[in-house]
Amino acid sequence: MSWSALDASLEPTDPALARGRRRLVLVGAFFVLLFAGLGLRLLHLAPEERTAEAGPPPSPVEPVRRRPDLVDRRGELLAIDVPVRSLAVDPLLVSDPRRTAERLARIVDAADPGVLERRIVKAKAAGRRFEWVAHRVPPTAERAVLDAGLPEVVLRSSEHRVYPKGQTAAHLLGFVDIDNRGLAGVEHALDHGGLAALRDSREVALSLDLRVQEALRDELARAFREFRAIGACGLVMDVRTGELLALVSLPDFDANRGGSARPEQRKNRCTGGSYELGSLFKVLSHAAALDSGRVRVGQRFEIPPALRIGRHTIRDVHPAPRPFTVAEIFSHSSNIGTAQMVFAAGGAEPLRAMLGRLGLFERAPLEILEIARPQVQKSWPDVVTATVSFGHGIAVSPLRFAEAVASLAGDGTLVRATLLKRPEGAALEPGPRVASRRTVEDLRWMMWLTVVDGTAKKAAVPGYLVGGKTGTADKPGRGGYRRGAVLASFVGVFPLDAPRYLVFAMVDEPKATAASGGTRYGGQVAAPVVGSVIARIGPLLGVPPSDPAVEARFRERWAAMRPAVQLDPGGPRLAAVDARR
Amino acid sequence: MSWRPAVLTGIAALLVAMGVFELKHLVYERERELARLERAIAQEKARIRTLRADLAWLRRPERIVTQAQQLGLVPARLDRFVRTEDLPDATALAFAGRSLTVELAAGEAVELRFKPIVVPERPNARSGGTRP
Repeated sequence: MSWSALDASLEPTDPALARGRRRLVLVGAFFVLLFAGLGLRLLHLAPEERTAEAGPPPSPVEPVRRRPDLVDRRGELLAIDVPVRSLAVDPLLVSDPRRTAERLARIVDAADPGVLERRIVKAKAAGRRFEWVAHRVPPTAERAVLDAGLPEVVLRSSEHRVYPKGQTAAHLLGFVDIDNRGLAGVEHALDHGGLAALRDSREVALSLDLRVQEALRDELARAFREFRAIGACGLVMDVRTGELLALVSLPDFDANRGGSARPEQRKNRCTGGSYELGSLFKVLSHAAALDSGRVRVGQRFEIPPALRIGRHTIRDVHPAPRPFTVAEIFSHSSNIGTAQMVFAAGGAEPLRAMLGRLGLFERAPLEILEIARPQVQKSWPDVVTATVSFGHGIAVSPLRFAEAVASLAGDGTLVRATLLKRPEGAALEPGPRVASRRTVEDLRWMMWLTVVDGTAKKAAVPGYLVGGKTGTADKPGRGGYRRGAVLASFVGVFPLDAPRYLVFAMVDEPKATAASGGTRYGGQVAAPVVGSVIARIGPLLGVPPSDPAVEARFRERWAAMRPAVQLDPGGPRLAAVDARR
Repeated sequence: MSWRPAVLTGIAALLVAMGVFELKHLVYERERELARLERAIAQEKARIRTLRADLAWLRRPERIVTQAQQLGLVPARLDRFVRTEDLPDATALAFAGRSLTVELAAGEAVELRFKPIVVPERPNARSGGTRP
């Protein structure tokens, strides 16, 4: 039957009946609409109720601002945030403080139930809704709390900074406080200093190479123990880019417990201390003299037993047996010779200009904030010029000095140290020129001579052309220099045929031992450290053996300049500083 | 008046209501699933971070040194550096990452692996190894 037929059969003939039926349809339609509306409203409400049951959807976003991971130049992890849980109680929900305290003490080993109970009671009395129980609880404790079903216990998520390598590079990485705020080193710089722009990145790649860092720390720690020193520091720098591959300061500390380290452990001697570096400075004074054009490498100087300047007398530890060439003054580290050479080159002006070009009168602009200011005399009378020429009367940080040597022994353009890894393949923009190519060549050769036939024979490494300069600086004390307290140091560059890396080591107050031949000289204490480090890191860094042709050229030049009288072969001539003023 | 439009409207309203309910329920389920997945992702990420920290701890230098000694590994030494052109079959070493069995002068055959090394830029330099 069709719709129209049904319609027709149902159509009433009586008008009253028809009216009643229309009313019935109207009422029916009203109720259908009413129930449909109610149904709709019910359906609309239903999911809302269920959401309320499940509680607010948990936010996957971490509330704590995470710190970036710190990695070395090869991606090895040095610092990372790991999620941890901390335990607290809501004292108002605690019905039996003793029972809660006892159960929590069982879960968290460190908590003392008596103390905890008293704290809960006190907080409850004060109407507080929050009382810490333990920070950074292990996952087992978290599970135990959930299993125990303690409604009064609150679990808080937070981030905990972990330094998986412990003491390695602790001075550079720094450390954080309990709220994950940086207190030292790179961590501090991320929050307050030169690295703030990287604070929100996921990872910060440092210039460090963990393998090099470990080799340097190992060798330096050996010298530190052997010579019963009070401190030591060392660094390895890429002389082309200024990237610091390693930086060690001893004694050091575990970055995971940075807060409990003693002040002498926290001190970064490489960057945060200024030292009179002694004969190391002859690298700079020789560069200044040679660059002035008034002095040549082969030029000879008479070396008197003592040099009087006004009321002051300068002496060499080992008097020169004959006139020395500039190269010999360098390789045998003669104070008198250096002072005479500097005066022959024009006195204070060329030296000051060179030190100024190298930035030795300013703070090193490294990314971290623990950088010492240099201490420089205001006026430069002759005696100051003389003492500065062999590294006294001026105090700079080892980092600043390393930058200067990297600039001079590299390619003569200014190098600035950095703790950040350079992007792969980034073009190198050379800094302003600080010394002529000829000066650089001469300096490299004199540094090589110092290792081959000078004060630094113990820094030699078979296969590499190594060059460097030793330093043995008296430490200043009250009213002059202290007797017997020295800084023994060595700065080395390798391979000299195409300089890539600078290695610096300094040992603070070494005690003479049998291994050092009863002396405390830089050549005996620090040079062997640098030699061992180069022998270990050279192959690791993929530095091929030096070109024999370059060595042959160096030896030829040496033979041509050798004096007719052979030098005493009985060991290196050491000229430590004796500048009592 | 015809009652048909009223009945059809009612049925249509009911069908639409059911459709809306189904859709809403579906969206709700999806949201819950999304929240669950996001929570799981956050948990996995946290786990990965903890595992990375563990791995880095296991790779700490002092442990590597002891392990290396137990495994009989020796430090890289400069006297073990060999220039590729000095090898008997230098032409076979076109690429780094290959290995080659070489007979030493003493008669012992050893397998050599080559890794690319960084050769400093210098004019007239002899090649220090295979270049990457």
